[in-house]
Amino acid sequence: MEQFTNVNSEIVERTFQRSFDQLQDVFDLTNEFAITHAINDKVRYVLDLAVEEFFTNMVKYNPRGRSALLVRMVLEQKEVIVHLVDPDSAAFDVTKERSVDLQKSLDERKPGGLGVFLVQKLVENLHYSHHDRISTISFRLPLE
Amino acid sequence: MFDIRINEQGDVILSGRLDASQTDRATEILNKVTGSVNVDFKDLQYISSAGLGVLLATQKRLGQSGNRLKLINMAKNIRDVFHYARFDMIFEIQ
Repeated sequence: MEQFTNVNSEIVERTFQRSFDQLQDVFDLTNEFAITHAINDKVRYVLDLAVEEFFTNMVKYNPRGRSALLVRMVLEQKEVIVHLVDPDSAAFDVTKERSVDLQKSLDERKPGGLGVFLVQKLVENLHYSHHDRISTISFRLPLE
Repeated sequence: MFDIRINEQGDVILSGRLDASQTDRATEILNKVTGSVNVDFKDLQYISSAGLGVLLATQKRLGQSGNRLKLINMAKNIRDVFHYARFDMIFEIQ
């Protein structure tokens, strides 16, 4: 998939290579969208956090996927709908309950799995689909 | 833009955005800490789970010698992330 950017008043989308080095470009896209639609700091924080956690998971756990990753944000009435698409991946359902034991002691705690766990707490209507090796993660953020 | 430094009092000063692309830099500085210190969040705007992992690793290392980090001047958005992760149970936050 070649890189492309599509920007209009309600939809922003762009493809990114599978690299942590792309993260700043991802944030540039979310920042552009947030400024365009005057999204407040609280919603913007959750938007950045959710997109980072899912994007970095796609890079970390599927570095050899053959296609670029897509990030799409859509403004719809009073909410933002976000989609992240990996067009060449095994299934990994991010809506399943994570095995993060919050009661473990400091010595027992590890950071793995924490990102998805956090996003599950912070976003609404988290969905996952996987067809023909295409993974799509979607979620909604109400604009307060 | 992320920055991390140790000031003259030995406190760790964070600023900007601590995301997954900045963890190597944060780890490099935090590995220089050997005793109990304050970590000042006043100018930190954003942290993700990758940043939490770096702080957790430092807290674990310091704990082996009876020392710990104290996190100060944390903005509400960041405090909420610590709360949801239950990291407020393992860090002293002021």
